[in-house]
This record gives sequence, C-alpha cells and structure tokens, in this order.
Amino acid sequence: MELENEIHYMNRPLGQAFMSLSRGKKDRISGFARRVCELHTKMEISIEAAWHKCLEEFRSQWPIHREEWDLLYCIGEVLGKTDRENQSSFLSLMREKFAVREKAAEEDRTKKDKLYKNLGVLGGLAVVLVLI
Amino acid sequence: MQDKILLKNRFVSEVLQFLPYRVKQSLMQTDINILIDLEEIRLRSGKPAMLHYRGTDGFLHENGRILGRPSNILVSAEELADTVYKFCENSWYAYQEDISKGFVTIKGGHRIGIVGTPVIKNGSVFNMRDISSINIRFAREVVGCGERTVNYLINGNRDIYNTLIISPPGLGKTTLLRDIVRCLSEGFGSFSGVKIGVVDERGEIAACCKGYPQNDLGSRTDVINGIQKKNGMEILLRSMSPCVIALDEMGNPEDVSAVMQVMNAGIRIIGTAHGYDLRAVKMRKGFYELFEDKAFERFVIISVNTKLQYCVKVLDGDGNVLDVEYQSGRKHSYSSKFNNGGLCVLPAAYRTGGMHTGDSGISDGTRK
Repeated sequence: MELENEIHYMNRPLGQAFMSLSRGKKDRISGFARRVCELHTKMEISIEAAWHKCLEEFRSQWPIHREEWDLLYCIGEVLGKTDRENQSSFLSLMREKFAVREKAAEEDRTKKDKLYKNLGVLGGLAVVLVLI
Repeated sequence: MQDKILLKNRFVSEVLQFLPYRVKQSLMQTDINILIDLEEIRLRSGKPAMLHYRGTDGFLHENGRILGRPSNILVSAEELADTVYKFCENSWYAYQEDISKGFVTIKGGHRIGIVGTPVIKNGSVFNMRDISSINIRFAREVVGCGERTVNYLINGNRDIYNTLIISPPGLGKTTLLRDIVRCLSEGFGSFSGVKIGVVDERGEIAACCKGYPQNDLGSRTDVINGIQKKNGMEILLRSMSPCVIALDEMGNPEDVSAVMQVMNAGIRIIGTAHGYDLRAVKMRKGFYELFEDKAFERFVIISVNTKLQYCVKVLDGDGNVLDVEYQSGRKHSYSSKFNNGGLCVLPAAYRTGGMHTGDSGISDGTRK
C-alpha cells in the first residue's frame, strides 16, 4: 500500500521510494525496503535483482507459503517497468491476491485449529479411558 | 589536477556507470582532458559510440582511444534500452512524461535525448519503444560567465530589466542564465540581491536532486522543477512572491502569454529563447505581442564566430548595442555547423535579408 502510494502519488523512482519506506521505522517491511535500497545503490544492481536477492535473504525469516513467495517474486519482475497507472493497478491486483491467500490461510488455520482441538479432546479422552 | 579528478569522478557517478559495459570500460581509459571536455556521447544501435568534444567528434576505440574512423565497439538496441532504463533509475513510470517528449534529464542536469519508435496514445506520444539512438548531452556550470553581462541587466540597486537571452541550441543560454540568476540572487557591487523564482521545467538550470539544487543559483533563489512554465510561474507567483522569475526556453505561445501576465503583475522576467538573432525570434508565434508591447528591455544574443569564440552581445529594448563580450570558453561543435566556407545558410524564414556571413559575432539580425 505504501509502495503504491510512493509510486502513484509521489511519483518517486523506486530507489528513493524504498529509501522513503525504510526511513524512521523498524518493522520487517522497512528492513526489507532498506535492504533492497542498499543492494540497489551499493552493489549497483537493478531493482529487480535487488528485490530477488533480498527475498532470498528474508526467506528464512518469513513463514509464508511457496505460492506467496512466487507472488513476491512476480512483483520484482514488474516493478518499474510500466507506466504509473499500470504499476498502481498491478500492485492493487497483487494486494488482492495476497488478501485471497490470507483468507485461505485463515480458513486453513481455523480448520486446523478445530482439528487439533478435537484431536486434543479425543486424545484426552483416550488417556482417561486408558487410565480407567 | 584535483579539479580534473573531481570532474571525472562526477562524470563517472552521474553518467559513465549507466553506459553499456564495453563503452564504459573504454571510456575509463580515455584521456582525462578529453573526458572533462566532452560535450556529447552519441550511441546508435548497431553503430560505434561517438564522442563530441572541443568542436570535433570521433569514434570510441578499445583502450579509450578516440579516432576518426569507426571502431568495433558497437552498441546493440538491447544495450540502448538497458542504458535508458538505468538512466531512468529503473523506474519508467517516474520518467514517462519526459520520455514522451523525447528526452530525460538526469542527476547533474545532463540531458539524454532518445529516439526510436514512438508509441501513440490518444493522438500524442506516450512512450518510445525500439530505441535506436540516444544522445547524452553534458550540462556544465560555468560560474562567473555572466558577471560582465549582468551589469547591463540591472536597473538601480534593487531592480532589473526584463531580459531575453537568445541563441541557437547548444551555445550556452542555460549556462549564462544560471550564472546571471546566481549573480542577481547573491548581489554584487552596489546591487543588493533580489528574490528570484526559477521555473526549471527540464531540470537543467538548477539540476535539483532530492530537493537540493546541484548548481549554485544563489541564496535568494527558489526553484520549482519538472513543471510546465505556465503552471510553474503561477505557483511561484502565488507562493513565493519573487521579484524576478527566470525560465528557460520560452517558445510555446502559452508560455509567452503567461510571461505577459507575470510582467503585468510587476514581476521581472529573465527568459531564454532559441533563435539566430532578434529578428528571427520576433517572427515566432507568440513573441510578436511581447515585442509589440516592448516587454523586453534587454536582449542578450549569444553567437559563435569562425574562430570558435563566443560572442555575448547585450542590446537595449530598441536594439542598440550596449556591450559586446568575446569569450574563448569551450569550443563547441556548433561552430563547425555554422561555418560553411564562410557562409552560413539560415532557415528560409530567417533569410528575408539574404544570407548572413559566418561571422555571427557581428550580425545581430537588426543590422545595427
């Protein structure tokens, strides 16, 4: 959302946009933006390469599924390569896809919650029966 | 020598690092004296890299040598597209308006001209695909080049005359305007500085980067950049209450009418316009009204003669010559374009009085 704002509203080039996103914050997203910016400017690699390299570095820290990693990779391939309107609509589309994934993950979690609860109850009963 | 190294480092960080690999490697080995005198680098798809410097040109060879015959350092169309993408900071969207006009201005105020196949949307150029040539034109700040001229532009201690700087492309209008702005802003002699607003549509006057002007425009100068001149002047007028507004490359009739409004509001104008002489500018659409109303009280005409000397001539509003200054300065490729066996043929519209001699230093078009 903030990246979309930097691109669409502020019209900042990506290097400056990532720098702006990382400024004054200490959350994970800011850390990611800072690292992309560092790789792009210090190692003189493209934003796409910096984004992909950064995803590799953060892979162990973010507990997300492969499909979500694929979506993140996909963002790096499109960032900066179209006009402002297209960048904005692409990022909106990606946000929607992540929202769908989030919802699915939430449902999955609820299902698993129930399953583990039931398993717990049944397990408890089994233990009680064994003890009796 | 230290200055030369600083200039080279600036060249490397602002331009060289974005060029195709072989061009970059070769340029790194080019004589530093040539590098700091570079005026243009031209890259064409399937052709060798060409450099313009000190009024001449040559092809870039291995080991940084520059020779008259074509080299084998050819540039591919892919490399050109990649180079432009890098100049655009990996962000096409941020430069899409510039690209649609055929050029982008990069850090340092250097201008990258781009041609290829335009992509049309709603009848106007939207993008440029299949880039076939780029021309990297170097911007240079020449501090002090306007110090003599500016004496003829002031009216008392706190006011200046409305001024129009005229020259063909590439002779230093922007460089002169920049230094005049600096002098007027800082003040000099008995002239106390004035508040100046600069409308820097192409980002070449101040070369702003992340909000900081990279060129010295003085302490009393406010810059609005990357905006059409008409809108920029309106914003400056409302928000910064300048005494003087400076703008580069007036030419659009809309800009000219906006200038008229600004003058009527009591603000002084220093502008530049493309033209070979005063008469050529007078004939241009939009300027006629300004000349009819005698809006400009000073004209500065820059030309170059066959000896590669710059001639900076100051005229009053009636066309009387107030000062003629010759500067040896950097030699420019335009001089060779002018010099055609002692004669230079101007476009038909300018030729009502016949042909002009190649010594443009003594021809101001008014024949005074």
